Amino acid sequence: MSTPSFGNQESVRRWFDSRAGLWGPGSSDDGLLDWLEQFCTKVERQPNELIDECLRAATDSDSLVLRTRARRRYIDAIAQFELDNASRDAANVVRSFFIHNGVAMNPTVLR
Amino acid sequence: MEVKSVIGTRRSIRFFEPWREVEREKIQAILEATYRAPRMLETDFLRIVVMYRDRLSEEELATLQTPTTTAQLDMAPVVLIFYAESEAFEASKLEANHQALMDLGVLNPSHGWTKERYASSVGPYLQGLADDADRVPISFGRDAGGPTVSREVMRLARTAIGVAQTFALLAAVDEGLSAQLSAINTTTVKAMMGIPDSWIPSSPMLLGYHGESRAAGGQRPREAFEEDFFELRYGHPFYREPAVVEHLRECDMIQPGAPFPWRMTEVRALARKFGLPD
Repeated sequence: MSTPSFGNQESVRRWFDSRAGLWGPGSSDDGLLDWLEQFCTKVERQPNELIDECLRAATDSDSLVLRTRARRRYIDAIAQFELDNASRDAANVVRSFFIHNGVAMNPTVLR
Repeated sequence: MEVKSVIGTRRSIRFFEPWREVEREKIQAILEATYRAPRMLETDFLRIVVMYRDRLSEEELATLQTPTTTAQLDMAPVVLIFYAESEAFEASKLEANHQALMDLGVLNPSHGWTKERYASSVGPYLQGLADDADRVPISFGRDAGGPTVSREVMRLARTAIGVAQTFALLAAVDEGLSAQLSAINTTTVKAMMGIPDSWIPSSPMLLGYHGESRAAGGQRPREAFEEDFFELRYGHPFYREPAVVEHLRECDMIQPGAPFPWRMTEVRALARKFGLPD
Protein backbone atom coordinates (compact mmCIF):
# COMPACT_ATOMS: atom_id res chain seq x y z
CA MET A 1 0.00 0.00 0.00
CA SER A 2 1.08 3.55 -0.58
CA THR A 3 2.34 5.61 2.28
CA PRO A 4 0.31 8.72 3.15
CA SER A 5 3.28 10.96 2.52
CA PHE A 6 3.65 9.59 -0.99
CA GLY A 7 0.01 10.14 -1.89
CA ASN A 8 -0.12 13.55 -0.27
CA GLN A 9 2.68 15.06 -2.24
CA GLU A 10 1.68 18.18 -4.13
CA SER A 11 2.32 16.66 -7.55
CA VAL A 12 0.16 13.63 -6.72
CA ARG A 13 -2.68 15.78 -5.42
CA ARG A 14 -2.46 17.92 -8.55
CA TRP A 15 -2.62 14.79 -10.69
CA PHE A 16 -5.69 13.44 -8.93
CA ASP A 17 -7.44 16.82 -8.84
CA SER A 18 -6.81 17.38 -12.55
CA ARG A 19 -8.06 13.91 -13.48
CA ALA A 20 -11.15 14.33 -11.35
CA GLY A 21 -11.85 17.69 -12.97
CA LEU A 22 -11.50 16.21 -16.43
CA TRP A 23 -12.97 12.73 -16.12
CA GLY A 24 -15.16 13.13 -13.06
CA PRO A 25 -15.02 11.90 -9.48
CA GLY A 26 -13.81 8.36 -9.03
CA SER A 27 -11.44 8.58 -11.98
CA SER A 28 -8.49 8.12 -9.66
CA ASP A 29 -7.92 5.21 -7.34
CA ASP A 30 -5.26 3.35 -5.44
CA GLY A 31 -4.39 1.33 -8.53
CA LEU A 32 -2.96 4.43 -10.12
CA LEU A 33 -0.95 5.25 -7.04
CA ASP A 34 0.49 1.77 -6.86
CA TRP A 35 1.86 1.97 -10.41
CA LEU A 36 3.32 5.40 -9.77
CA GLU A 37 4.94 4.18 -6.59
CA GLN A 38 6.50 1.25 -8.43
CA PHE A 39 7.92 3.61 -11.01
CA CYS A 40 9.24 5.96 -8.34
CA THR A 41 10.95 3.04 -6.63
CA LYS A 42 12.52 2.01 -9.91
CA VAL A 43 13.96 5.44 -10.67
CA GLU A 44 14.62 6.22 -6.99
CA ARG A 45 12.73 9.49 -6.96
CA GLN A 46 9.75 10.93 -5.13
CA PRO A 47 6.84 12.22 -7.25
CA ASN A 48 7.63 15.87 -6.59
CA GLU A 49 11.23 15.25 -7.56
CA LEU A 50 10.18 13.84 -10.94
CA ILE A 51 8.29 17.00 -11.82
CA ASP A 52 10.90 19.35 -10.37
CA GLU A 53 13.51 17.69 -12.55
CA CYS A 54 11.44 18.28 -15.68
CA LEU A 55 10.24 21.81 -15.01
CA ARG A 56 12.35 24.68 -13.77
CA ALA A 57 11.17 28.15 -12.78
CA ALA A 58 11.79 30.77 -15.45
CA THR A 59 14.14 33.52 -14.40
CA ASP A 60 12.07 36.35 -15.87
CA SER A 61 8.50 35.30 -15.09
CA ASP A 62 6.33 33.06 -12.93
CA SER A 63 6.14 30.40 -15.61
CA LEU A 64 7.90 27.05 -15.76
CA VAL A 65 10.33 25.97 -18.44
CA LEU A 66 10.54 22.40 -19.71
CA ARG A 67 13.87 20.68 -19.25
CA THR A 68 14.00 18.62 -22.41
CA ARG A 69 16.82 16.31 -21.36
CA ALA A 70 15.10 15.36 -18.11
CA ARG A 71 11.84 14.83 -19.97
CA ARG A 72 13.61 12.63 -22.53
CA ARG A 73 15.22 10.63 -19.73
CA TYR A 74 11.82 9.88 -18.19
CA ILE A 75 10.23 9.13 -21.56
CA ASP A 76 12.85 6.41 -21.94
CA ALA A 77 12.45 5.24 -18.34
CA ILE A 78 8.70 4.90 -18.77
CA ALA A 79 9.17 2.99 -22.02
CA GLN A 80 11.42 0.57 -20.15
CA PHE A 81 8.86 0.39 -17.31
CA GLU A 82 6.27 -0.58 -19.94
CA LEU A 83 8.50 -3.37 -21.21
CA ASP A 84 9.39 -4.61 -17.72
CA ASN A 85 5.73 -4.87 -16.76
CA ALA A 86 4.48 -5.83 -20.20
CA SER A 87 1.77 -3.28 -19.67
CA ARG A 88 0.94 -0.19 -21.68
CA ASP A 89 -1.69 0.64 -19.05
CA ALA A 90 0.89 0.70 -16.26
CA ALA A 91 3.17 3.00 -18.25
CA ASN A 92 0.27 5.24 -19.19
CA VAL A 93 -0.53 5.73 -15.51
CA VAL A 94 2.95 7.20 -15.07
CA ARG A 95 2.62 9.25 -18.25
CA SER A 96 -0.70 10.55 -16.97
CA PHE A 97 1.04 11.69 -13.78
CA PHE A 98 3.58 13.70 -15.79
CA ILE A 99 0.98 15.12 -18.19
CA HIS A 100 -1.34 16.37 -15.48
CA ASN A 101 1.64 18.07 -13.89
CA GLY A 102 2.43 19.95 -17.09
CA VAL A 103 5.00 17.68 -18.72
CA ALA A 104 3.76 16.54 -22.14
CA MET A 105 4.42 12.87 -22.65
CA ASN A 106 3.05 10.62 -25.39
CA PRO A 107 3.91 7.05 -26.20
CA THR A 108 3.83 5.81 -29.74
CA VAL A 109 0.31 5.11 -30.92
CA LEU A 110 -0.88 1.51 -30.94
CA ARG A 111 -1.85 0.55 -34.46
CA MET B 1 -19.56 18.83 -51.02
CA GLU B 2 -20.92 22.34 -51.19
CA VAL B 3 -18.37 24.94 -50.20
CA LYS B 4 -20.39 26.18 -47.22
CA SER B 5 -20.64 22.66 -45.89
CA VAL B 6 -16.90 22.12 -46.40
CA ILE B 7 -16.16 25.24 -44.37
CA GLY B 8 -18.56 24.18 -41.63
CA THR B 9 -17.33 20.59 -41.49
CA ARG B 10 -13.62 21.37 -41.22
CA ARG B 11 -12.09 20.74 -37.79
CA SER B 12 -8.58 20.44 -36.51
CA ILE B 13 -8.54 16.66 -36.24
CA ARG B 14 -6.11 15.16 -33.71
CA PHE B 15 -7.06 11.49 -33.92
CA PHE B 16 -6.49 9.87 -37.31
CA GLU B 17 -6.93 6.26 -38.38
CA PRO B 18 -3.23 5.39 -38.36
CA TRP B 19 -3.62 2.25 -40.46
CA ARG B 20 -5.52 3.82 -43.32
CA GLU B 21 -3.42 5.20 -46.16
CA VAL B 22 -4.45 8.27 -48.10
CA GLU B 23 -4.99 7.68 -51.80
CA ARG B 24 -2.37 9.40 -53.92
CA GLU B 25 -5.00 10.99 -56.14
CA LYS B 26 -6.51 12.71 -53.12
CA ILE B 27 -3.13 14.13 -52.18
CA GLN B 28 -2.74 15.39 -55.71
CA ALA B 29 -6.19 17.00 -55.59
CA ILE B 30 -5.12 18.91 -52.49
CA LEU B 31 -1.88 20.03 -54.13
CA GLU B 32 -3.86 21.09 -57.20
CA ALA B 33 -6.08 23.23 -54.95
CA THR B 34 -3.10 25.00 -53.39
CA TYR B 35 -1.65 25.46 -56.89
CA ARG B 36 -4.68 27.63 -57.60
CA ALA B 37 -4.57 29.63 -54.38
CA PRO B 38 -4.19 33.40 -54.67
CA ARG B 39 -0.61 34.61 -54.97
CA MET B 40 0.85 37.65 -53.27
CA LEU B 41 2.13 40.20 -55.81
CA GLU B 42 1.93 37.48 -58.47
CA THR B 43 4.73 35.57 -56.78
CA ASP B 44 5.02 31.78 -56.86
CA PHE B 45 6.15 31.54 -53.26
CA LEU B 46 4.54 28.21 -52.45
CA ARG B 47 6.48 24.97 -52.06
CA ILE B 48 5.11 21.77 -50.50
CA VAL B 49 6.91 18.55 -49.70
CA VAL B 50 4.71 15.48 -49.18
CA MET B 51 6.00 13.21 -46.45
CA TYR B 52 4.74 9.67 -45.86
CA ARG B 53 4.97 8.52 -42.26
CA ASP B 54 5.44 4.87 -43.14
CA ARG B 55 8.51 5.62 -45.25
CA LEU B 56 10.27 7.03 -42.20
CA SER B 57 12.14 4.94 -39.67
CA GLU B 58 11.00 5.05 -36.04
CA GLU B 59 14.08 7.11 -35.25
CA GLU B 60 13.36 9.60 -38.03
CA LEU B 61 9.75 9.94 -36.94
CA ALA B 62 10.83 10.52 -33.34
CA THR B 63 13.17 13.34 -34.32
CA LEU B 64 10.37 15.19 -36.10
CA GLN B 65 8.20 15.40 -33.03
CA THR B 66 7.74 18.34 -30.72
CA PRO B 67 6.57 17.74 -27.12
CA THR B 68 2.89 18.06 -27.99
CA THR B 69 2.70 16.58 -31.48
CA THR B 70 3.84 13.01 -30.87
CA ALA B 71 0.46 11.36 -31.07
CA GLN B 72 -0.77 13.24 -34.11
CA LEU B 73 2.41 12.61 -36.06
CA ASP B 74 2.21 8.94 -35.17
CA MET B 75 -1.36 8.72 -36.38
CA ALA B 76 -1.33 10.83 -39.54
CA PRO B 77 -0.10 8.78 -42.51
CA VAL B 78 0.70 11.87 -44.58
CA VAL B 79 2.24 15.23 -43.74
CA LEU B 80 2.25 18.15 -46.16
CA ILE B 81 5.11 20.45 -45.27
CA PHE B 82 4.57 24.02 -46.41
CA TYR B 83 7.30 26.43 -47.38
CA ALA B 84 7.71 29.71 -49.22
CA GLU B 85 10.63 30.10 -51.60
CA SER B 86 11.98 33.52 -50.66
CA GLU B 87 13.90 33.80 -53.90
CA ALA B 88 10.67 33.52 -55.89
CA PHE B 89 10.13 37.21 -55.29
CA GLU B 90 13.18 37.95 -57.44
CA ALA B 91 11.45 36.40 -60.44
CA SER B 92 8.06 37.92 -59.76
CA LYS B 93 9.33 41.49 -59.71
CA LEU B 94 10.85 41.16 -63.16
CA GLU B 95 9.28 43.20 -65.90
CA ALA B 96 8.75 40.07 -67.99
CA ASN B 97 6.47 38.62 -65.32
CA HIS B 98 4.28 41.69 -65.32
CA GLN B 99 4.36 41.99 -69.10
CA ALA B 100 3.10 38.41 -69.34
CA LEU B 101 0.21 39.21 -67.02
CA MET B 102 -0.60 42.31 -69.09
CA ASP B 103 -0.56 40.18 -72.24
CA LEU B 104 -3.03 37.80 -70.57
CA GLY B 105 -5.38 40.65 -69.69
CA VAL B 106 -4.85 40.13 -65.98
CA LEU B 107 -3.18 43.49 -65.36
CA ASN B 108 -4.92 46.06 -67.54
CA PRO B 109 -4.77 49.76 -68.41
CA SER B 110 -8.25 50.11 -66.88
CA HIS B 111 -6.47 49.69 -63.55
CA GLY B 112 -3.42 51.73 -64.48
CA TRP B 113 -1.17 48.92 -65.68
CA THR B 114 1.18 49.75 -68.56
CA LYS B 115 4.75 48.90 -69.46
CA GLU B 116 5.71 52.48 -68.71
CA ARG B 117 4.17 52.35 -65.27
CA TYR B 118 6.11 49.22 -64.46
CA ALA B 119 9.38 50.87 -65.50
CA SER B 120 8.75 54.15 -63.70
CA SER B 121 7.19 53.08 -60.41
CA VAL B 122 6.18 49.43 -59.95
CA GLY B 123 9.56 47.92 -60.71
CA PRO B 124 11.47 50.27 -58.40
CA TYR B 125 8.82 49.77 -55.68
CA LEU B 126 9.16 45.98 -55.82
CA GLN B 127 12.94 46.25 -55.86
CA GLY B 128 12.66 48.45 -52.77
CA LEU B 129 10.65 45.76 -50.99
CA ALA B 130 13.31 43.17 -51.76
CA ASP B 131 16.22 45.39 -50.79
CA ASP B 132 14.70 46.88 -47.63
CA ALA B 133 17.30 47.01 -44.87
CA ASP B 134 14.70 45.87 -42.31
CA ARG B 135 15.46 42.16 -42.56
CA VAL B 136 14.54 39.00 -40.66
CA PRO B 137 16.10 35.54 -40.68
CA ILE B 138 14.46 32.93 -42.90
CA SER B 139 14.73 30.32 -40.17
CA PHE B 140 14.45 30.63 -36.44
CA GLY B 141 15.66 28.64 -33.48
CA ARG B 142 18.64 26.43 -34.14
CA ASP B 143 18.71 27.39 -37.84
CA ALA B 144 18.86 31.13 -37.17
CA GLY B 145 21.89 32.95 -38.44
CA GLY B 146 21.43 31.87 -42.06
CA PRO B 147 20.06 33.91 -44.94
CA THR B 148 17.75 36.84 -44.32
CA VAL B 149 14.85 38.32 -46.23
CA SER B 150 13.20 41.74 -46.04
CA ARG B 151 10.41 41.90 -43.49
CA GLU B 152 7.93 42.85 -46.19
CA VAL B 153 8.82 39.87 -48.39
CA MET B 154 8.53 37.65 -45.31
CA ARG B 155 5.05 39.04 -44.70
CA LEU B 156 4.02 38.35 -48.29
CA ALA B 157 5.50 34.85 -48.15
CA ARG B 158 3.75 33.95 -44.91
CA THR B 159 0.47 35.28 -46.24
CA ALA B 160 0.91 33.12 -49.33
CA ILE B 161 1.48 30.06 -47.19
CA GLY B 162 -1.54 30.84 -45.02
CA VAL B 163 -3.83 31.18 -48.02
CA ALA B 164 -2.49 27.95 -49.51
CA GLN B 165 -2.94 26.12 -46.21
CA THR B 166 -6.55 27.25 -46.14
CA PHE B 167 -7.12 25.91 -49.65
CA ALA B 168 -5.44 22.65 -48.64
CA LEU B 169 -7.55 22.23 -45.50
CA LEU B 170 -10.79 22.79 -47.37
CA ALA B 171 -9.73 20.55 -50.25
CA ALA B 172 -8.92 17.81 -47.75
CA VAL B 173 -12.39 18.00 -46.24
CA ASP B 174 -13.91 17.94 -49.71
CA GLU B 175 -11.95 14.75 -50.43
CA GLY B 176 -13.44 13.11 -47.33
CA LEU B 177 -10.20 13.46 -45.40
CA SER B 178 -9.34 15.24 -42.22
CA ALA B 179 -6.42 17.48 -41.44
CA GLN B 180 -4.75 19.63 -38.88
CA LEU B 181 -2.13 22.36 -39.07
CA SER B 182 0.37 21.20 -36.51
CA ALA B 183 4.01 21.59 -35.55
CA ILE B 184 7.11 19.71 -36.55
CA ASN B 185 10.83 19.96 -35.94
CA THR B 186 11.71 22.07 -38.97
CA THR B 187 15.44 21.75 -38.36
CA THR B 188 15.21 17.98 -38.67
CA VAL B 189 12.95 18.16 -41.70
CA LYS B 190 15.34 20.56 -43.41
CA ALA B 191 18.24 18.17 -43.03
CA MET B 192 16.20 15.04 -43.76
CA MET B 193 14.59 16.32 -46.94
CA GLY B 194 17.29 18.52 -48.35
CA ILE B 195 15.29 21.72 -48.00
CA PRO B 196 17.10 24.73 -49.50
CA ASP B 197 18.27 27.51 -47.16
CA SER B 198 16.05 30.00 -49.02
CA TRP B 199 12.81 28.19 -48.16
CA ILE B 200 10.78 29.77 -45.36
CA PRO B 201 9.26 27.04 -43.15
CA SER B 202 5.72 27.00 -41.83
CA SER B 203 3.25 24.77 -40.05
CA PRO B 204 2.87 21.30 -41.60
CA MET B 205 -0.54 19.87 -42.38
CA LEU B 206 -1.27 16.42 -40.99
CA LEU B 207 -3.52 14.46 -43.30
CA GLY B 208 -5.48 11.26 -42.98
CA TYR B 209 -8.87 9.73 -42.33
CA HIS B 210 -10.46 10.88 -39.11
CA GLY B 211 -10.12 8.50 -36.18
CA GLU B 212 -12.44 10.56 -34.03
CA SER B 213 -15.93 11.49 -35.15
CA ARG B 214 -15.72 13.99 -37.94
CA ALA B 215 -17.63 16.53 -35.85
CA ALA B 216 -14.84 16.17 -33.29
CA GLY B 217 -17.02 17.36 -30.47
CA GLY B 218 -18.65 20.20 -32.37
CA GLN B 219 -17.62 23.53 -33.85
CA ARG B 220 -15.15 25.30 -31.61
CA PRO B 221 -16.24 28.33 -29.62
CA ARG B 222 -15.30 31.72 -30.96
CA GLU B 223 -15.49 35.22 -29.56
CA ALA B 224 -18.80 36.93 -30.11
CA PHE B 225 -19.20 37.79 -33.81
CA GLU B 226 -19.72 41.42 -32.90
CA GLU B 227 -16.34 41.59 -31.17
CA ASP B 228 -14.48 40.70 -34.36
CA PHE B 229 -16.36 42.30 -37.24
CA PHE B 230 -17.16 45.96 -37.75
CA GLU B 231 -19.03 48.20 -40.10
CA LEU B 232 -18.09 51.73 -41.08
CA ARG B 233 -15.67 52.14 -38.20
CA TYR B 234 -13.97 50.26 -35.43
CA GLY B 235 -16.27 49.79 -32.47
CA HIS B 236 -19.45 49.66 -34.53
CA PRO B 237 -20.25 45.95 -34.80
CA PHE B 238 -21.35 44.46 -38.10
CA TYR B 239 -25.02 43.62 -37.58
CA ARG B 240 -25.48 39.86 -37.60
CA GLU B 241 -28.75 39.20 -39.39
CA PRO B 242 -30.46 36.18 -37.78
CA ALA B 243 -32.01 35.09 -41.09
CA VAL B 244 -28.53 34.78 -42.61
CA VAL B 245 -27.37 32.77 -39.63
CA GLU B 246 -30.33 30.46 -40.08
CA HIS B 247 -29.60 30.07 -43.80
CA LEU B 248 -25.98 29.18 -43.07
CA ARG B 249 -27.18 26.67 -40.49
CA GLU B 250 -29.32 25.03 -43.14
CA CYS B 251 -26.28 24.98 -45.46
CA ASP B 252 -24.16 23.28 -42.79
CA MET B 253 -21.69 26.13 -42.48
CA ILE B 254 -22.89 26.74 -38.96
CA GLN B 255 -23.05 23.42 -37.13
CA PRO B 256 -23.74 22.44 -33.51
CA GLY B 257 -21.09 23.86 -31.26
CA ALA B 258 -18.79 22.20 -28.77
CA PRO B 259 -19.00 20.58 -26.39
CA PHE B 260 -21.16 17.65 -27.35
CA PRO B 261 -22.39 15.93 -24.17
CA TRP B 262 -20.56 12.74 -25.06
CA ARG B 263 -17.31 14.33 -26.14
CA MET B 264 -15.22 13.51 -23.08
CA THR B 265 -16.40 9.91 -23.21
CA GLU B 266 -15.31 9.79 -26.83
CA VAL B 267 -11.91 11.29 -26.03
CA ARG B 268 -11.26 8.80 -23.26
CA ALA B 269 -12.34 5.90 -25.41
CA LEU B 270 -10.04 7.08 -28.21
CA ALA B 271 -7.13 7.35 -25.78
CA ARG B 272 -7.68 3.74 -24.75
CA LYS B 273 -8.14 2.59 -28.32
CA PHE B 274 -4.80 4.02 -29.36
CA GLY B 275 -2.95 3.19 -26.13
CA LEU B 276 -2.57 6.80 -25.09
CA PRO B 277 -2.57 8.10 -21.52
CA ASP B 278 -5.48 9.95 -19.98
